[in-house]
Amino acid sequence: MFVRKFLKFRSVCLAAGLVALTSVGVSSPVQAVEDTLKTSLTFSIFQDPGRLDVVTQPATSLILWMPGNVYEPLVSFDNADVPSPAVAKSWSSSPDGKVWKFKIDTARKFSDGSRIKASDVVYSLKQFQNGPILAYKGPFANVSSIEATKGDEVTVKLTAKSRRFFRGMGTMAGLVMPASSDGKRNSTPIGSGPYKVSEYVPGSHLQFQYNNKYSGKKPRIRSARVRFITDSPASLLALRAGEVDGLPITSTAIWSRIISEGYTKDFKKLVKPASGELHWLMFNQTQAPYNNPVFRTAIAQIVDRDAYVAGLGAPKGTMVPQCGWGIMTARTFKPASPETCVIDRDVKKAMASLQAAGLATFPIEFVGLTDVPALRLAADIMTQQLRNAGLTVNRRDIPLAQYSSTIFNARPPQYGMSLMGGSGALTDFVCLDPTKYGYQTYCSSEFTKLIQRADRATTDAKYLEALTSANELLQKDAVVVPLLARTGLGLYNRKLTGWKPPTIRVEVALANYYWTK
Amino acid sequence: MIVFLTRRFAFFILSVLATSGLIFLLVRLLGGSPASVLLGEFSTPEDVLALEKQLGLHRPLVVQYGEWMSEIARGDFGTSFYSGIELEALLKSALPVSVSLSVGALLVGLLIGIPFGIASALRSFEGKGASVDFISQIGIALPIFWSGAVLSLIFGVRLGWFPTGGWVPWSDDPAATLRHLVLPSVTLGIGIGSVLSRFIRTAIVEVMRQDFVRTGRAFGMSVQESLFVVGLRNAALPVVTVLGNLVSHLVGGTVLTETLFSMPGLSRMILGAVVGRDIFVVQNLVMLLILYVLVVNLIVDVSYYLLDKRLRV
Repeated sequence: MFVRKFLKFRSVCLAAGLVALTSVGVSSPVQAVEDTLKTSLTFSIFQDPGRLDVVTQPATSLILWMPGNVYEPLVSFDNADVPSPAVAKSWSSSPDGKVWKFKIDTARKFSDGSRIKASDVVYSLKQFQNGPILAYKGPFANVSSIEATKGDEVTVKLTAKSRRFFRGMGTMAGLVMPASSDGKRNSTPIGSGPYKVSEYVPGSHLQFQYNNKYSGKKPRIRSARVRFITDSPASLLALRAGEVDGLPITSTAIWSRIISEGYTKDFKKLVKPASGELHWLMFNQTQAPYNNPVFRTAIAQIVDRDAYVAGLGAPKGTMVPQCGWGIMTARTFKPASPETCVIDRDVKKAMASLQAAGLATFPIEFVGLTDVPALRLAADIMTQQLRNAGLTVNRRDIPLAQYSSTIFNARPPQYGMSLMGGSGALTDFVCLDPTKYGYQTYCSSEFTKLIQRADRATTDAKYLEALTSANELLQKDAVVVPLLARTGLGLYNRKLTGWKPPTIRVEVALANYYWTK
Repeated sequence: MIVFLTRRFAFFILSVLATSGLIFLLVRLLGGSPASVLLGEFSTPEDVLALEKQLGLHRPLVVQYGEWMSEIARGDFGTSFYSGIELEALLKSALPVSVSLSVGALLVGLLIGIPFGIASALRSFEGKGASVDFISQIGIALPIFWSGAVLSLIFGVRLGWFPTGGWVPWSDDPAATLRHLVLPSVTLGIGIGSVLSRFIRTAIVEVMRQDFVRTGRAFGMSVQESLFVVGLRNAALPVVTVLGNLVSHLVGGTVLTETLFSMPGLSRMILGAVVGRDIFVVQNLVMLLILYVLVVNLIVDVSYYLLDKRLRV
C-alpha cells in the first residue's frame, strides 16, 4: 500500500517537473554554467584606510577600492587615454580651450536613490579643488570657476588651456559624489558606481554590495569583501587556506616568500605595470648640501641599484633597476642602455668628489618610515649602502601618518634625504609657488614652464616634446635618484579571472572580475 | 567584610584618579600640546593654535581634566580625530573581540595549566615530573608570532579545520565565531597555561609539605586523596594571584595575536591609534585598559579575601 502510494507520488512529481521544465524553457548550457558560478569574492590588503573619505584620505588602500567601484569619474579614459562618457554624457570646449561644458547624465542615480544633478558635480569638483591633497588639486591649477549653468550642465572656466584639467576629470579629482554626503563620507560613502559600501569594520574588512541603482551592466560579482590583513605572511596563509581569493597587491616584504614557497605556481600571478610604483631617493633641495648637485651626483654614484633590488627579494621581471636620473616610469624616459646610463656606479670617485667639496663627513639626515614594511626594508638597505661607502647617516624613522602630513600637505620640507615610493608623475614636480613645495622640494621655473607648455600643447607631438624636455631637465638637475621601477605583483585563485589595467590609477575594478569553472 | 570592601573600593577609586591624572599629564607633555602632536612636529604655530581652540585645549588643565573624567563616567569616549568615527561605535565592535579572545585564551590556559600543574606535582612526589616541566618551559619560551603561524599552517592551511584569521561577530553566527576563536585562543593560551602549570605545581608541592597534609596522610589518606581534599583548595591562593597578573598581562599578548590573526580587537585598535597619532583615542583606550587591570586586581583581592579565612579574622 505504502509502496504504491510512494510510486504514485513519484510519478506525479516527475510529471510536474517535466511540465515546469517545458513551460519555462531549457536554459542554455552557458547560462547554466554561469548560474552555478560564485558571485562573490574575498580579497585581502595589508593597509586599513582608517577612514573612507577620498577627498581627505590619500591612502593607496582607499584609491584601490573606491574609484571605479563606488564612485564614477566625470569622464572615463581607457589606457590609450581615449575619453568616453561616464557621469558626463557629453562635453565640449571652446576653441581656445578655456571653457568646458559637461552635459550630466541625470538618468544616473547615486546608491542612495537620488539622481545625479549638476550641482552634485560642482560640489564634487570643488571638494577636490579646495581639498588638502595636492595631487588632486593639480588638474584645477588653471580653473577659475566651476558652475552649474543648467540643471544638467556644468561649465568650467580656465585661465589657460589645460590638458591636465580634462585628463584629470578621469582621475580621483573627477570623482562624483552627492552634496548630501558632506561630512558622512568617512563611514558611508555614496557614489554612482556598480557597488556600494555595505559595511566598514575598521581593522577587519570593507564589504561591497552590488548597487542596484547602477545604470551600467550588472557585474557578475555581486558582493566582495576586502579583508585587512596587516601581517603579510598571514595574508599568504589565508590565500593558501582558500579564505581569500586574491591579493591584488603584495608587499615587497614577502616577495621572496612568494617565490620560495611556490605561490606563483599554485596561484595566478599577475604582474601589473600600471599599479607599479617608482622608488627614488629624494633630496631636500632647500637645504645644504642636499641642494648641491655635486653631493647628489656623488650619492647617485654610490648607490648600488642591483643590490637594492636583490635586497628587496624581487621576483624576476617585476623590478627594473636603472642607472640614470629622471622619472623612468614616464613615457618620455629613455630606457637604460650604455648610452643613456648617465652615471656609472663608482664609489671611489664619488667619495673623492665629496672629499674635494668638503662634504665627505657631512652627517646625512635620512628619514624613513616605521610602519610600512616594504619601505622600511628599502630604507635599511639604502642607509647601509651609504654607510658602507664611508658616509655618516643619521637615520630617523617616523610613522607614515606623520610622514604624509609632513611632506604631502604643502608643509615646509623638513628632512634631509628620504626614500619615496610613488607614481613619480612629472607633474608632481611642478612648482608654481616656492613657499608651497610639496614633497619634492624641487622648484624650477624652467621645468614648470615646460610642463605648462605640455599642458597647453595643441598637438600630441608638441605635448610629448615638451614632456621629454622636462624629463631631461629633471635628469640634468639631478633631482631624484631612481632606484627601481617596481611593478605590482598580484596573486589570485586560478579560477578567478578578469583583471584589467586600472583606468584611474591603482583601482581594483571589482566589476571586471568573474569566476570560471 | 564591609570594612574590607569599603577600604578596597576606596583604594580602587584613588588608583583610578591617580592613573587617569598621570595619563592626562603624559599626553599633554608629549611635544608640548596634543594639537602639535596631532599635526606633527613640523606644523606651524598658527595651525597648532587653531586646532587647540577647536579641541578646547586653550582652557585650564583642571577644567579639561574634569571634563574628560565626566565624559568617561558618562561613557562618552569622543570621536576619533583620524577616522571621524565615534569611539563608542568603534568600541562596540572591538571590545567583544578582545574580551572573547581573552576569555578563550584564559580557558585554554586553565585547561592546559591545571592538569599539567597537578600531573607535574604528583609526578614530582615520585621523583619524576621533569618531562612535564620541560614541556611547560617550551610553552613559556614559544613566541606568539611563531606558534600562531605554525598553528595556522597546520590547522588552517593543511587540515582546514579552523580559519587562519578574521572575525565573525557573535550575533552573526556563534558557531563561526567559535571556529575563528580557536587558533588565536590556543596561541595566546599556550603561554598562560605553561606559566600557570608551573605555579600550580609549586603551590601544590608547597602545600603538600604542610603539617596538616602530613597528618592526613598519617591517618591513611593517599597522595591523591590529600591533594584533592585539602591540597588544591590551599594551593588555590597563590594561583589566584598569579591568574590575576596573567589576566592583566593578557593585554600585551592580544596585540600580537590580534595582528597575527587579523582580529579587529581593542589592542589592534590602540596600535592603529598610536600609529595614526590619534592621541585622544590612545588616551581613552589606555584609560579603559587601566580600568580593566584595576577591576581585575579588585576581583583578585576580593577572591583572596573570600578564599583565605585568616584574612577575615
